[in-house]
Amino acid sequence: MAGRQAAFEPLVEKYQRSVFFTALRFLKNQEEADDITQKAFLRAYQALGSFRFESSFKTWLTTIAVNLCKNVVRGQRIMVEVPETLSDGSVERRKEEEETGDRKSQLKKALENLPERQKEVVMLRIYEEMPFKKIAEVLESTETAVKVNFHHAMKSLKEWIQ
Amino acid sequence: MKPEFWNQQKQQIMESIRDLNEYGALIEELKALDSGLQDPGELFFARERRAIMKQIAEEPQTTKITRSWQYFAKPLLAMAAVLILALTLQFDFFNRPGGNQREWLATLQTLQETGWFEEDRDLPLEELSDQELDKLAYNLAGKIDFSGSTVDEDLDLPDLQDDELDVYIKFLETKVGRGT
Repeated sequence: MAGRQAAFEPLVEKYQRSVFFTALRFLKNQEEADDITQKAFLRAYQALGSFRFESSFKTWLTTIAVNLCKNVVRGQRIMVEVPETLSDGSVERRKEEEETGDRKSQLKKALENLPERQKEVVMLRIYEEMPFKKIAEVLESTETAVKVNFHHAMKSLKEWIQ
Repeated sequence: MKPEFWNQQKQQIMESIRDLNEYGALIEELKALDSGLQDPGELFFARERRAIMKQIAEEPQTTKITRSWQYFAKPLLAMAAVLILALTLQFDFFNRPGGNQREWLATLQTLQETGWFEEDRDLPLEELSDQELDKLAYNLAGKIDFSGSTVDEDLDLPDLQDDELDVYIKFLETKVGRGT
């Protein structure tokens, strides 16, 4: 058992940053990204026996992390659903920011407003620099679907910031 | 070719180049957004690594045991269920009219293949009484056609009891699901 742990530590060291930043991009919160990173490695350790070498270890680990992030995001979405009548002016404030904001913040907002799947594809493609094939593996989708999502995302982003 | 054609071609190519440039610029802009992410630093990652390794060390050794338990227990449970069922029914089943060893084995095989011995199936065979099991196996062996055409044409559904009907419907669903 101790041997297994020792063998696992270099893997943690090698991929820790990558997993952490993937989670941070998804969750925008360092504490949560830290939590997800720890959970992802623990899950990977537990399931190492079932790793089939059909993808690279990094792709497999990223899949675990992305799925964990998606669960968190889903949970957050349920939590933030409040009646519109209870608006505290934040909507108006956001609108104002949008009007006065610079291109960078506009782009950030546009990225945030993309449908979930498109956002995931853009993040993995642009920030993780993953090939479409690997993205398809991580998101348990097909390469064509991933390409279509990426194309739609770029089109929407372009339209949004114009 | 007419000059209009070439002009049109040129226009299309220029548009494509413009699109490509815009696309490239957008990707660069998106990449620049990422630079806003703060690197928490090596100390943070060292602490995180320690936390991960601590959790792994605390991970009960059952991880391996659970895996091997799952690996061996499922087929063992299925075999045990088959044996219990066989022992329960062997004394009088083969003497029943319409029942024979071949059908009986085919029934058991189907039960295994269709996953009825798995833990999460709806009808708990081990909870049925000996009599119920006997009747169920008898009905299945007598009424289900294993040659591939799913059912005996003479099968009279109203004759089946609730449990039997349940098993029968599940059998059909599985057959349909497997495309047979």
